Amino acid sequence: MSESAFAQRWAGDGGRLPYYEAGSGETIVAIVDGERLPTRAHALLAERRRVIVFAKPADAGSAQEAARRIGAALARLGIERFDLMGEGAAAAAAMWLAAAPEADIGSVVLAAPDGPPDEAFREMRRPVLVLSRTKDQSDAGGRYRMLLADCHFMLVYDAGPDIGAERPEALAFIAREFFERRDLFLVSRENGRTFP
Amino acid sequence: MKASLFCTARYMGAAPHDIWPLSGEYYSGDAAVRSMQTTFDQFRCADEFGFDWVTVAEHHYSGFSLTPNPMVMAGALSQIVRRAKIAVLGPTLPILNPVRVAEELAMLDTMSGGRVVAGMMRGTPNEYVTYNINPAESRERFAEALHLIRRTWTETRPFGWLGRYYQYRTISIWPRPVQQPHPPLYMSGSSPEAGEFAARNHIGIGFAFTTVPLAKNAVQHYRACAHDAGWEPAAEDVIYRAMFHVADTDDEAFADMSTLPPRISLVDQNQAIAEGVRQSGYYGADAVAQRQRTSRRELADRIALGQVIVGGPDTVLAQVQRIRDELGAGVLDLVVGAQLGERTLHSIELFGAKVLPRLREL
Repeated sequence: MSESAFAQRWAGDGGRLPYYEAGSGETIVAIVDGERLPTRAHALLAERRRVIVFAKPADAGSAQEAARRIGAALARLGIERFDLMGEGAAAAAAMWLAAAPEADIGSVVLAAPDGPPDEAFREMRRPVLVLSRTKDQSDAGGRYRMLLADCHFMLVYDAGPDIGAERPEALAFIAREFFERRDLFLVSRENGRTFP
Repeated sequence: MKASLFCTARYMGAAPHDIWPLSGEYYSGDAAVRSMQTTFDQFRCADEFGFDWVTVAEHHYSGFSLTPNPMVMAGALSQIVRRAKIAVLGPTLPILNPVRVAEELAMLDTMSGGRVVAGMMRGTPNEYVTYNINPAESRERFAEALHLIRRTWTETRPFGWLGRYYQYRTISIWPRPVQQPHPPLYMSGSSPEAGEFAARNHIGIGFAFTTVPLAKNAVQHYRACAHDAGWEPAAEDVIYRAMFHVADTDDEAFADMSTLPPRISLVDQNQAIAEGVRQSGYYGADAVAQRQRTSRRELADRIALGQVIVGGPDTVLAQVQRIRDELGAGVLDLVVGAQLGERTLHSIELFGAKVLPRLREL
């Protein structure tokens, strides 16, 4: 599946919130802050799951407000249960959405989170995987790790802020593993046989 | 200038020296045990006579070296060599598990009380056949593995790694290095690509079985790249390796060395492998020069090119001084040139007693 398989639709109050959708099956919601969306990673995830991609609303003002709007849009779409991915500066919005008590969210992947995490995230009880980049000196991923005592933390080698575009296969692979298996993702289930 | 003794733990039984892989049919356990004991004696002697480092390295399937895992030899040396640093130059990184390498070096650093020098090598080209790794992937594997190893040593909390060649869901090594943030790092600097990588990542470089003219160009390139990266390498950031043999007089030393068979590099011992590796692009942009490093040469030419240091103490000092002046190298890694029993031990003693004190002043 390619990025072009995604259809642009509109949701939210007055249908003003754009999103992109592709695939079928259990839902993954991705919140991104970039202009290039969906990414190759979203397309790879959509090969096995229903993927809905929101850009963080530019006029939302705060990450908390962005999360509220996206949460409301999802409710209108009738999407109650999903896994969640927050990318770059949209990681905070994803965390606020995951923190909402009414949300039925399985697990959360933060891909190259940018910006300082809110102290309130310390109370997060859902499984979280923080993916941090190695190409630059950003320590935002490390700050999320420090705050989220029980989170999993992985370094994505040779990736900058846009992991979804730079290492799409790696991001899609590990996100899928974490969404499907949560803490059990620590144990590999890859086939190591060279020949059958 | 500092000096290191590199003893490859050469097999001392009767076996061809020009075949790779070498058949086990030639192998004698007794000869191998004797080889190991001789190696320990030589390292012990180097430690006693003031060598700054002792060096071990990884080679497989050959009598040239009985240390397919240099970490095992280094572990033994941590208890035999009491003073000198233990330079593992090094693990052949692209064919190994990098987390294992990080763990073993950290363990060695702990066992030796913080005396490990960590050289990260791509190895001789034949080693890619050893564990069936594509040599075309060598540089990328090396770069990723090196970055990962540094992280394993410096990250204090568990972390996973999602690389291009390596993937780990969680890493948290114990023991950790005694030296902080980690043992000094070196890598080969022979190719332009390697020099650039080392400079960019603030890593020392080493040269093995090359020539002084080739190394000189490479050092200049490395220093220029380091300057661009905002730092100036110290003399100790450059290691130069050469074969050596010292005797009381020049005549004796040359007579000893003349008994040796010509050196044939490991990769040149198997033409199919040599050609396969060349076709893979392993050598990079500077392939012709890289292949020149290991060309067969007569002893006189090898001395002239700085591949071999041989003679009485004064002659050897002059040869070393030339290498120092040409390269600005701060560490001389001396490979035992001739396995001649007591005469080899005497060579190590002579270098330690009569050359090394004057070398310190260079």
